[in-house]
Amino acid sequence: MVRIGVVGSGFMAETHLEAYDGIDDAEVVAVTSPNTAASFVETHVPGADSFSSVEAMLDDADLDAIDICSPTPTHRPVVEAAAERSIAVFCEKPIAGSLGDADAIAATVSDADITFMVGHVLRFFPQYEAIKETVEGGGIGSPGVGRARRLSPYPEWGHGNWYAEDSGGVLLDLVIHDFDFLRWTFGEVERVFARRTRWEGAEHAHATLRFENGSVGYVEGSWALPPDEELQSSIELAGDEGLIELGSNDPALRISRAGESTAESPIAADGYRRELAEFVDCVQTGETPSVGAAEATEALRISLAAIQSASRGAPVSLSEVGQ
Amino acid sequence: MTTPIGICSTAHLHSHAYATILDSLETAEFVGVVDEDPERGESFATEHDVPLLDEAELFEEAAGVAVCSSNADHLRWVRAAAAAGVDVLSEKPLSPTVSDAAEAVEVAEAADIALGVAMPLRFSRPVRRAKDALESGDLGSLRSITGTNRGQMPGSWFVDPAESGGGATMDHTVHIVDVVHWLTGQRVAEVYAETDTRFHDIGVEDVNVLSMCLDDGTTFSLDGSWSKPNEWDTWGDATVELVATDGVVSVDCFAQTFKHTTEAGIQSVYWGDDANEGLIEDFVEAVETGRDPETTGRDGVDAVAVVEAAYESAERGEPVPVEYTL
Repeated sequence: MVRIGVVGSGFMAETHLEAYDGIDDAEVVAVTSPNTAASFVETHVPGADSFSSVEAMLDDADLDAIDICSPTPTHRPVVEAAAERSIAVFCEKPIAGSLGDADAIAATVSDADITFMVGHVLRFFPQYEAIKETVEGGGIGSPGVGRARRLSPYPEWGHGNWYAEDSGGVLLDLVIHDFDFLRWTFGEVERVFARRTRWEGAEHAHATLRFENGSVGYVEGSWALPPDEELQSSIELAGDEGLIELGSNDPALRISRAGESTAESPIAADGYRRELAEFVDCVQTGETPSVGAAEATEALRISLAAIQSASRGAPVSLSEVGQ
Repeated sequence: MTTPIGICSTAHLHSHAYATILDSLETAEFVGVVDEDPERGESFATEHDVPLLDEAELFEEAAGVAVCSSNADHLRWVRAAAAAGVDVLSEKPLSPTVSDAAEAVEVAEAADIALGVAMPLRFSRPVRRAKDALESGDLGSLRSITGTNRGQMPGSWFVDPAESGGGATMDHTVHIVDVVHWLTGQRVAEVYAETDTRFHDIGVEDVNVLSMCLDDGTTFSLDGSWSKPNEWDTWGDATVELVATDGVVSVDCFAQTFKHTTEAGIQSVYWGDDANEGLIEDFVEAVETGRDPETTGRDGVDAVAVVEAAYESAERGEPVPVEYTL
């Protein structure tokens, strides 16, 4: 049994808890958060211990691993605290908000020789994994144009509105998923040109990518949908021998009653469960997770290039980022 | 009392669509076709049961013509029609260069003939509803636009730069640019382009991915690539999504389809209203009443200006401001 302490008590912590529910070899035994751990535990994982400091949880909860679901600026210090105590770490994306922090994390986890994985969950969504396999198998031939969209209302759920201040905006917090996936399927990115527009309570951005192999991608991210709208995402990968298109499918299950209808896409294990299952397995076996500091840092680099480009109004090469 | 309309050149496949529409209109009489390719012209004339005429004869008969030649030849037909005092609806783009497009406008204005450009999306019913929604005021102010106009590689003269002036950027930029100009009342101010040849073994670009902004800073992205496989279920798409401060408007011009499967595969068949009908009806009425068509030569020049900036950006690897000459 892998004993897990969760850092954070927000939307991601809740999502991860649901995932751990279906992983036999994992047990969430502790949660830490500055103010709300106790009520969170009561609601979501009664029986677990609650803490208000990461260090206290690391020292007292007898953990095999922690799962960092707290805001991006906390990632590096929490990783360092866990590594000091040889405790394995799962860290939500992005790995960090800067290349400096990402590099520091990479060095820390390597030196401490702990299992370390970053939550680029899109790779673990069954449909995205199947798309990757189709591309690997030559299903589109040589890549031409890749298109990804991820649109949602503004994330009002963040504690203290941290999304506004510390998340890096849609180009880092939201579409890093798509930057990572396009890099994974189309290859290394050479340069990015991005445009971003922000207004009261919203943001919308668009990034154009040129890959080293000559193909082109474009990613659109939005926190500008009207409130109560569902998250929309889509991906299209076009190559010289085929085209893959994934949008929203009609739900596999829909139940309608007077005044209420629900739609579901039931699956044995969703992306979160699959990625956390891999993490738990690696903690037990000592194997290296498929998404570690290196992969996560490359995704971060694309996001940072996009942010720099949007500020400068000029294309930014990946090699220039952080200089 | 019908307005006599002719067709100049049948190099562009749309000539067939226009012929069918002209035949169906009560307000128009389809009087004939002239074609620089006699064999092709003969076959077209037979198919549509109209006379194959020579240039002089056609300009004698027609009060207005639809010019369906290759892009490079549009100007030459505009000059000929202007000399004969005949109104023109030119296929798009108006010309491959701003300078030729502007000359077409000048020639038309000097001869006092109407000059329109066949960018029919202004007549798409979903597009018109979107305009109503934007103008209602309750969507707030526009901040970002995403457009797509992907298609299959058309081959033929489209991939001969001497005839077309370029590939996907020349072919699939102006429709959505014109629609955006029309919907917003703004013009594209700057273009950053990523173009390449990735899908087909051709000498022109088939990747056309543009990142633009309008005069007022509204961001505007457009994918006008020839990226749809020949086996795709339809010819391509035309969509525009407008994100405003208080709402989002998403238009899919060709969403109204049914699925038809045969041993040849699965096709999506469009059943919505035909925007080309609106285009031709408008042109016929413009000829009859002496007014400008909905989309004028000047609108056509503006669209070509964006295309020119796109090519320059692709070459220089940086964003390029659009120069509007008229």
